[in-house]
Amino acid sequence: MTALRPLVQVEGLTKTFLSRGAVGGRVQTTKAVSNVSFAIGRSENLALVGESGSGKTTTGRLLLRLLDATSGMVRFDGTDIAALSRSALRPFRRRMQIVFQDPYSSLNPYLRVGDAVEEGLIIHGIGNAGQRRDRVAELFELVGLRAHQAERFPHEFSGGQRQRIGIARALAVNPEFIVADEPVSALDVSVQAQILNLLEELRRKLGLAMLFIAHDLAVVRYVATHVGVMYLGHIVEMATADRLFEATRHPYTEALLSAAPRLELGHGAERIVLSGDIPSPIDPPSGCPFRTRCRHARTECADAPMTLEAVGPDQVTACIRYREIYS
Amino acid sequence: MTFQTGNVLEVENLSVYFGRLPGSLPVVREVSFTAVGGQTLAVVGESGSGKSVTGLALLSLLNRGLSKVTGSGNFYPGSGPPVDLLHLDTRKMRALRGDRVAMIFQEPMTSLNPSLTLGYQVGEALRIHRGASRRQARAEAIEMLERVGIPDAPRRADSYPHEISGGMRQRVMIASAMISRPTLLIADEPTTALDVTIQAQILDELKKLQEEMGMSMIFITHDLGVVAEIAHAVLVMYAGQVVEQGPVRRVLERPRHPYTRALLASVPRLDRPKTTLAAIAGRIPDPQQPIAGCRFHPRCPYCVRGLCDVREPELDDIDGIQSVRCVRWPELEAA
Amino acid sequence: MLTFILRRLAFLVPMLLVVTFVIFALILLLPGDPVFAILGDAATPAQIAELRQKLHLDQPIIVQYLVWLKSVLTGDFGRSLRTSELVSDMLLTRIPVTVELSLLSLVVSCAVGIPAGVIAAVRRNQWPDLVFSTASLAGIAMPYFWTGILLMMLFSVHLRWLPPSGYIPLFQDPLMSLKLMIMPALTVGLPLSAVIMRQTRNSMVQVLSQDYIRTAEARGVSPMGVLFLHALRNALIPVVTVIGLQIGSLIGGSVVAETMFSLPGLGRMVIEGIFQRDFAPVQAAMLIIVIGVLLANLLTDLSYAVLDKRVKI
Repeated sequence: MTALRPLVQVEGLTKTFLSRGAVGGRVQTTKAVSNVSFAIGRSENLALVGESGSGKTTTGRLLLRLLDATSGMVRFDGTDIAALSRSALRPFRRRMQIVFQDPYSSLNPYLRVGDAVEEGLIIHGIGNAGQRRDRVAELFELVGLRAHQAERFPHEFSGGQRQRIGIARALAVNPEFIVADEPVSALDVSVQAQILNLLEELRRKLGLAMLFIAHDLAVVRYVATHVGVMYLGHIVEMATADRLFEATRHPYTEALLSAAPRLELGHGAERIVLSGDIPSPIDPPSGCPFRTRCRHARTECADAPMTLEAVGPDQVTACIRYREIYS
Repeated sequence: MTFQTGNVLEVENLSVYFGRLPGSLPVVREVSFTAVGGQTLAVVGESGSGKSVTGLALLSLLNRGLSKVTGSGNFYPGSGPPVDLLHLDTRKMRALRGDRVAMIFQEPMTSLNPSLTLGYQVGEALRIHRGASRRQARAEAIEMLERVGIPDAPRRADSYPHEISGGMRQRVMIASAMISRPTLLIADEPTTALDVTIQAQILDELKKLQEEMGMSMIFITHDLGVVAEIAHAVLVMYAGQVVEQGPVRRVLERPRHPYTRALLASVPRLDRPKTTLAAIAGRIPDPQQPIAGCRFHPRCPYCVRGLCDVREPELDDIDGIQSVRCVRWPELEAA
Repeated sequence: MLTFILRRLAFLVPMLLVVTFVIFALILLLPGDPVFAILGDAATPAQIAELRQKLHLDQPIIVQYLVWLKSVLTGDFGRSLRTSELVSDMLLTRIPVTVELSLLSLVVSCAVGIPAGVIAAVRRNQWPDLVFSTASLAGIAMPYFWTGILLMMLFSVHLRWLPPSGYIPLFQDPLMSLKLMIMPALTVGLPLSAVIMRQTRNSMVQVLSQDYIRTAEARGVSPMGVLFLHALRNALIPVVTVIGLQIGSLIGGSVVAETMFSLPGLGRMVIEGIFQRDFAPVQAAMLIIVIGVLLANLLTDLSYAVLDKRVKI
């Protein structure tokens, strides 16, 4: 999607989980992520959007090698990190960091927040004690906290402030790439906006590449440069943010946009309400995974294999009927 | 079935205190509102606003030893004289719960008993309140499960909660609450834990049931989008107080309180051009934290020193249908 | 379910082999020689050698074990060296004693422990909780023989309500049999009830704070209904685990109690056999005890499936 070589390039990424039922049960395979490909350039923010079980969080973990991929490639600055040994991976760990969803459980309650932020610097052997202290103070100012607050413990902070600390911790080692896994979904609306604005500002200022994992399309719209919509482990549509919101080319994206509650009154009539639940990933539908809930589904949707087709220079869709539906 | 059109619940000056220490500050402060038959009142607020505590206090579901509730809540149960929910002995309260007043909760994953069948849990209220037999309760439970859109209801009645999805569990919760055709349903963030497509289904289901059964609903939520979908009237709460109330159209389209305005501006929107989100500065105060003057003044962009941090504002009636708790609202309106 | 049981039973076989071999070996390693115990000090070397050969004592342990195993599999447990009684006959009279004692102890421990735990949980941090928790601490800390002596002092010596010791089969005189069993069952059951009480209290406290309990209250369920219909069943799941883990100490307690109260059970059979270097009864009794413990564990696992609907077997 960028002319220059992207910082992160993912190709055919697949993750299969094995699970045994109960005692004596058969081994079941769950494809959490199926053949996912995308690229993220510097200063770009790709948002992965989907409902529970869509595989978005697993994709984030695979990118950071917090999980090992079953197959596929994750190129970070040209190197396939999915194939690297643990020790060869170490220098890359510093260059990519994660911000977690829950600011309450992701900070050690017995560690001063300044020490939590400093930890990454120590692990990667950056600076001496004095330099590290200055760096922590600088980071606290950067995320909108006061330097002296570094002496305090997590319980003394509100949810929004803790998320700022989580961001400071991720930024401490000067990463080039950040995975933000639902960073605002545990926060109140008025505070959520603060964090979204902060992330957006940091991306611009520091030229960060970002993978933003979210379930809320409205939130994504404020931070993403590109959006990928996931369903049952597949990317079903991906485009630049503007294209995706203004010229949707997949019925699932359309349904997601339509289902999101809106502040306007009296639009309920035209909304698309999907029937039924997301199918089980253990036994996914053949062909298009969305066809069981899709109002445009035809018999051919069950047979056609999942492939992404280019709609334009910066948009792909998995819907084989998009030409008819969106003409 | 009687469709009640008048007032179903009139709450006046409901306050809730936590902790037995004398002089502890209330977490809910003198909240008053009216719930009307066939309509939905949304109680909206962020964490610490006291919205959930308000709902639990109405059904005496707060730990009695650790909390004190004052005020009155006249409830008109359809037939018979009104009762004051806040001054009801435990037996009479128990007779109302699950019968005339039902409640559903946020977490469908944990709000159903893992070791009882869905059919039993849905039919339980009939067995308690109507003396229904096992078989009758089961038959009606199956009918109710079908009504809330559970496929293959007779089989599902014998299933356990872990065997169905989160969205299905919330439907079961709704079925268990609606089976006695209550006059009032209190729904505490019933869609917050669900995916958006499932949330849309559940909201539709609740609206449909309200049309069919004519119950009054108190819908507690933090999501203004959901308010726009489902509510007729809104109560905006902040730090334990009602700061604004009125019909949904008025509050969402002409918010008078600076907090309501700021909250609306901070909601990410799909239906407007993308701009920078207007965040509210500062942090949400602890409900028991003492704040002089207006409780929102430390975060308010319109705060005037010497006025807002001194005088505690009253809930002013604007025009008989909308009220606002801000001393500066007429000025702000003119500006 | 059936495949699960069969699979577990199949697992029992190798486990039994290992355990019985270990027991077999340990007993032979005990100081003292059965040959001298039988023949006395005056025996001639020829007599000794002959008896040794007859008892296979001149063979390596593994051979002795296999010989023993082979005869056990044909139902022949040998004879007691002291009394010449068939060990299989001894087992038939002694198994019922131990089974009765164990079951009664289990009943006592649940009947005391579960209600006490429920009451302590409902009145947590109030005086009933304090009383039960303190009592349970004492119950856990007290050794079996001490509890037994105290009971005997109280009921037999001071109050003269119960006979101090002895045994009558249940079917012969049920009332007298139970009277004789009360003190042994309390001796074994009370310490276990203390453990059960603590677990019941803790899991009940945890369950009572669950969302579904609030749902039940919001539905108008009475306090008793909340407690017994909605809470207890979920709270008992970890209690069952604890009971399963305590079956070993239940058996250990039985050995002590049978000795103290002169009950002719498996435990006493083991103790007597060891003291008299009479190994055939010891080995047989141990085998039965091990099988009992393993079956009890299987039963524990099966009860999860009944209690916890999320467990499928």
